[in-house]
Amino acid sequence: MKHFRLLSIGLLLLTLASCRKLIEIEETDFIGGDVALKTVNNNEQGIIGAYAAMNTEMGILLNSVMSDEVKVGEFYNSATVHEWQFASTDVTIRDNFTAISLYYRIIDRANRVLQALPTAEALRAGDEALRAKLRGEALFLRAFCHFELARYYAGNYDAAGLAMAYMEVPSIKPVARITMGPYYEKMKADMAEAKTLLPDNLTDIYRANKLAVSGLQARVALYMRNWQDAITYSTEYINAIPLASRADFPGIWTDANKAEVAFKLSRTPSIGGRIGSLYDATSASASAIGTVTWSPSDELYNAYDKTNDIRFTTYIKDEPLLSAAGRVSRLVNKYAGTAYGTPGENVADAKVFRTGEMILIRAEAKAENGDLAGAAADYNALRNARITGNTAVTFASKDEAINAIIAERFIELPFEGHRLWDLKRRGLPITRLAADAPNANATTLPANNFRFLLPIPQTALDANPLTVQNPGYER
Amino acid sequence: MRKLLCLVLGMLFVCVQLFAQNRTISGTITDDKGNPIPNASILVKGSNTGTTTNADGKFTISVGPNTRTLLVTSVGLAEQEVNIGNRTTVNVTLNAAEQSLQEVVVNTGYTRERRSQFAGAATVLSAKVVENVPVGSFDQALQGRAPGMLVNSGSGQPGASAQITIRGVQSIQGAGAQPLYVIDGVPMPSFDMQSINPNDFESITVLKDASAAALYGARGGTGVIVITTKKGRAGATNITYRGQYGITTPPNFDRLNLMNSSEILEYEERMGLQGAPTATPGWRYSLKNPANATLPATDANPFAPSQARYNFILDSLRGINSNWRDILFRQGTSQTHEINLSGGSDKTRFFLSGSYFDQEGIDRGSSLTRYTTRFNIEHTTNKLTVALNGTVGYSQTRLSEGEWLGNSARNPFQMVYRAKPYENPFLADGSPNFGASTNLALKQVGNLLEGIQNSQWRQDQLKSNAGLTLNYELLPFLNLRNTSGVDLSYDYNTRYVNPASYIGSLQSFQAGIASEASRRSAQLINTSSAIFNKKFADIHEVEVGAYFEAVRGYQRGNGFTLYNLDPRLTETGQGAGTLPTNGAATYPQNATSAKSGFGIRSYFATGRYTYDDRYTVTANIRRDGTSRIANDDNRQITTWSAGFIWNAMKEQFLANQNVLTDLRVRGSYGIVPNIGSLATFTYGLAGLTSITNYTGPQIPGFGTTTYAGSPLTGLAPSSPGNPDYQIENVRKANLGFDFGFWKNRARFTVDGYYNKTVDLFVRQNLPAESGFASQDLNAGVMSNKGIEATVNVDVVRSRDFTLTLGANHAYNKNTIENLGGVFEYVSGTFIIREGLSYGSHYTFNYLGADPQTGRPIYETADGKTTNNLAQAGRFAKFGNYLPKHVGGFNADIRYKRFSVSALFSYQFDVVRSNNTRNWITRGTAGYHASVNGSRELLTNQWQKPGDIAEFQAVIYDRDFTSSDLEDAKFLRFRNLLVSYQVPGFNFGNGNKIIKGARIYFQGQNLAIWSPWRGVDPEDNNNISLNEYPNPTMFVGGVEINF
Repeated sequence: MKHFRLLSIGLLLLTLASCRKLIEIEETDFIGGDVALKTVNNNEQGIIGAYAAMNTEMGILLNSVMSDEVKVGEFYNSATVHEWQFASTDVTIRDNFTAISLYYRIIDRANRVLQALPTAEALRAGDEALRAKLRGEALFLRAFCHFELARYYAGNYDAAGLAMAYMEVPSIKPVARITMGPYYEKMKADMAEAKTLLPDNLTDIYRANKLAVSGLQARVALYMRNWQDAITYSTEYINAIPLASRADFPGIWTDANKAEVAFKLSRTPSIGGRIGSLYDATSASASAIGTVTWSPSDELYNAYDKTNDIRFTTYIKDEPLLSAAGRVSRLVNKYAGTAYGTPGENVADAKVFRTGEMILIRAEAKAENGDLAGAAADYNALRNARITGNTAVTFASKDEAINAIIAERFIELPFEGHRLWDLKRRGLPITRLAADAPNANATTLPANNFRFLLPIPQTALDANPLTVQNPGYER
Repeated sequence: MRKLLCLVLGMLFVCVQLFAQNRTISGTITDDKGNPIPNASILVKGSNTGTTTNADGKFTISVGPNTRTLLVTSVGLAEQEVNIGNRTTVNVTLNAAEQSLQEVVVNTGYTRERRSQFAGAATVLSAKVVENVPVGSFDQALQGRAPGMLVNSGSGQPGASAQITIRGVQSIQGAGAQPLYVIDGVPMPSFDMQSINPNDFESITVLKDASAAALYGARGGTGVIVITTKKGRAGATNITYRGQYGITTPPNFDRLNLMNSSEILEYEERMGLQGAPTATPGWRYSLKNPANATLPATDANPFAPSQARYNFILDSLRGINSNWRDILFRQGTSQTHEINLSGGSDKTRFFLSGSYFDQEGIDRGSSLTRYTTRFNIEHTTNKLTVALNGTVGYSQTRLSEGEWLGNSARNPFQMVYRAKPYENPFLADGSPNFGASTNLALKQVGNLLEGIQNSQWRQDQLKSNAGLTLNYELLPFLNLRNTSGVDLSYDYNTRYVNPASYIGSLQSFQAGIASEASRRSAQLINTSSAIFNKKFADIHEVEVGAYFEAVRGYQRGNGFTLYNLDPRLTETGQGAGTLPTNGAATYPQNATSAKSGFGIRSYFATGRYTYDDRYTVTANIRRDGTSRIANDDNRQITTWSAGFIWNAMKEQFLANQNVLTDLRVRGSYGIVPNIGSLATFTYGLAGLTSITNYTGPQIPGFGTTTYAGSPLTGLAPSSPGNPDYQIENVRKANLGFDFGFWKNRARFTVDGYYNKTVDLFVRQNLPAESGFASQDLNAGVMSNKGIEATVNVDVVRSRDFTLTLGANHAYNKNTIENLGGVFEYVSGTFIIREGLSYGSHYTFNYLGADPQTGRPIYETADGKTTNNLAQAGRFAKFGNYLPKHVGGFNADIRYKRFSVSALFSYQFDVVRSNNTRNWITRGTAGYHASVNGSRELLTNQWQKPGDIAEFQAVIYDRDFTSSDLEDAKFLRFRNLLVSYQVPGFNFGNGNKIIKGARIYFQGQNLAIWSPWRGVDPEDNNNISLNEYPNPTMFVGGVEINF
């Protein structure tokens, strides 16, 4: 019986020892919870995760489809957006243009890094410097995404107007929209702090840097009609990165050079998607060119000096192979990538900030500030860089200057996600030529129409009882 | 609680010091006619001590000094309690079985309860239901046996487990959770049954309600299946040999009503003529094809295109007519050999067995070979009883690669209806005709056969399940008991594709593939208890038990994949060559490993009070804690149950009547947490097996992602985590009646239940601001209401002839009562919607072909019709894939030494999505370029205006619609057993060579009747497409007792 006794003691000890721990066994192999972002290095991976979701393509397509940049090609989709008929349940709004999901996802990724970063373990030399840089990147991405959300869902800047929820910590709880005053202040604070933390060089323009913050600050100031800030920040950018030469200009779009660009999102055939496919599908070969979904509008096509303006040949192509086949032949060439049927077709980096935009921001801000000569100087500098034999102009009035600058934005920045927002923030209507409109009812969207603000998708409203729909879409 | 534990274990130590003298009791057990009863069981009441009578009905047993009562039982006779007083000789006469079946003991795994005191709902199945049934996993044999238990086979792979659902689906998230299996007190995973020998089983008890399963707490949320294995009995040693040999045959595929070669060629031509040309021979070589209009009638070159040449080709193809059933499948053989020994003395009893099981599946690559041993030893010394029950099994399963590939041209279960019968898959020498396949030169089946010959996917499992139970009778009314158990499986999975084969050349790096993965999983359990049992004043019987239980699970595994194998060798990674990096700076790992674990800690107490054997009340309270809940605040949960039973036959007013011979009324209510509802993540191991991550979904999860702008791998949140996560609870109420008539020759059991799952996990959309789409939250309510009945009637019961008819039926109604704010969401082919039952199909309503245009007609949401699928509504009015009515019936006939048993099982009020039928009646050129068609297309497809037809014109598609939903009710002739009992014989010197023997024939899945137009209406899910169907099996066998 001695053995039995020993056995019993053994069992007793075993039982007691395992008692307390038994319900506290943790999963040891799971990269989740506190483990996922444990080290500074892991937080860098977290930031890469945020960049991986970064997307300007949605805005590029929406700005084209909803405005006057494009006309229907060989395949018509997104009709409710193109014809301004969408509702909060519209499939295109839900599936193609759900900025609310896209940008809050990136914000969540940035916020998780911001939350984990202060206590993340620094295991390698240089991790402390990296920690600061990562905080800067997270703040920049958070500000960038909140600005995008405001462009989609909020009206023109008005401190008392409704913006979105400004998410500063990860949360799955319902949350209310706040007004634009505090919303933009939080955004400005994020940008200001990011600027002190990010590298002041252009070594890696696939990630945020100090000049990218300047670019964003300039853009935000323009939307806030804070002209002095817009001048200050755009000047920072322009002074660091001059306009491209005519020789270099096409290379921006084939990614042969980095001219004008402080920050762009890297895209390869296997990672990130093909921007060019927003407008026309990839081809099997030169003799079987992909379906043309959206063709440049006649309005845009005819706005260029086709002979002398480098932008025309860079942005647009009238493909003889297609016209010979009797197909729609005018193509958006900006993101054409490599030759038809090759792996790199339609692949191009997504440019986020460019000197062309900055100089037009400054021109507009100067004009608004009453500096018509300064506005004309910037305007002429841009056109001189783009057009052979350009004739310099002077502006007689602010309106003349603004009209010229907005028209120049139309031809300098098409297919880059600006046109719709420009018309919205300037209180202009969307007007299409009869030849560009899919039908007679889709030629004009009156200025300040409620549809310039996109509806909050119904699913998002259902899931968040604290949020409210934009005017005009209430059910 | 720790104090209680220490007390319990403390008592265990004390007890070992106490001993007293035993005494020996002997006697004879006879029936009411005075015939001695061999193999009757004599048990010391309240203990595990027992023996059995020898061939002359005699027994000897050693009992403790405090033993007062023996329990004498024998199959078919009424149990009797005998007060032995101080006697040393005890002769007992057992009466015919007035109440025999009702008095069977219910083994809850922890305790043995007499039926008259058992308030729960349980079905006790005897070993006969699984004995010698030629299935690799015994649960497949349970179909139609226990009311309220839905047993559906998902695969005919030898050794595959069935899907078991007890009393309806009780959870959305845990819809597939299997009941808890417990063998002699040690739990065992439901999917390891291929390594267990069911011939070792003594009984199988299905515990269905809160009261019956109360001892299992959260682990028993979806019901418990308690298996008790055979134990030895004191007396002569019995040696039994069992042997079995038989065949496994493919099912009948005629239900598919597929076209033969000339019909499919005709249909291919029709598709061309109807404006949907395909590159198939029936159209390519048709002289009605405009492309062939200018063909010369003949050509000097006999192989050059000409009308004669094309007609010759079509004629040749028409003559091929491959029989896919015979080519794709085989008639497998199956055999078993087994020896078991049992016996012992009054102190030590044993049951030992060793078995070999080998079965080939109908798929040419599938089989199961199994070796098992069992050792059940019990030793009694004075007040201490020690029992060791264990099994070690080793199984080698060759899995059907086709079944694993699923929707693939290499899956024979799909190719049986996809392959065109005009493909000849063999070369002249009989080897497979493999290589690149085109519609005009089909090599699909050739590739399939070459693939089976050159690939192997195997799972080897080493399985052990063993438990040691110590029982010490501290006082006559107080027993201390401890059970320690280990369940261990070591799985080694391998998948090889021969590098020197065609299929090998199609793998990455063009030279085969070798994947191997091993997984070790262990579950330890320790249950300590103290049980007080005493009868006061002869009418008050009290039993109180206090338990502490600890369960610890471990999993660990690794897996890797090798490419570019050595063509000189097969089925090995040896000699594998290097891999190119294609200029990449880094190279992904082809190997992985993972580990995980969990713990469950439970304290519980049970109480039972019986008054005069008439009224019994029971109660149970328990506190369970588990590491499977990440949030410390929700980890522990307290639940309870209570029950009563009224044994009406003990009432005076029923004493003087002879109509009723049994009447009991049972009721119970309780709360059972369902651990099966907790979602898990898995770590995959080389795609062959996986390790379970028990808390993953509760913790913010991260996946990897890539950004082309950085060489670093990105980390992206994949799930937000749910800190409020808690376990689902099922509130179970049960009311049951047991009654018997006609000297108990007619026996009935009826149970009604109402189960309500609360804190049901429901998928809820998250605010977009969170960055996530949806999450499962504890927010819903689901109910299952049902009624179950069992009837058994001994129609004839005489010495030479007995006939017993039995039937069981169950009805279950499931309702999603509340989704907590969400109205509905689509899950696969069905919809989760308040007010509907779980598993309600949700699709478009197809109304046939438009007589004018041949376009499909659908119903719109507002009740109109449309030809445009985009405008069609989706409806949830087509029924449910889970049957509402399930049952079985059986007949057992014995005439002298011959006996016949037949089992039928059925299900109805069930609708499944017949994807096979969708494919073979889809009718479009796209489908029928690579799928054979149903003959219905020939007669029931729209061709010209005015046609009233079910199927739309060739040039239109109708998609997946209500036309694929079919009634899947069935009646299956599940099992037939014919046997002859051979008498014992000797060589004249008086020593029996053979005590007895049995010769039998057994058939499984002999016939099926169903309106279903697919291969097999029975499956474990909502869709039929590529399943490995249930084979038909015939075996003959012998059982010899030495």
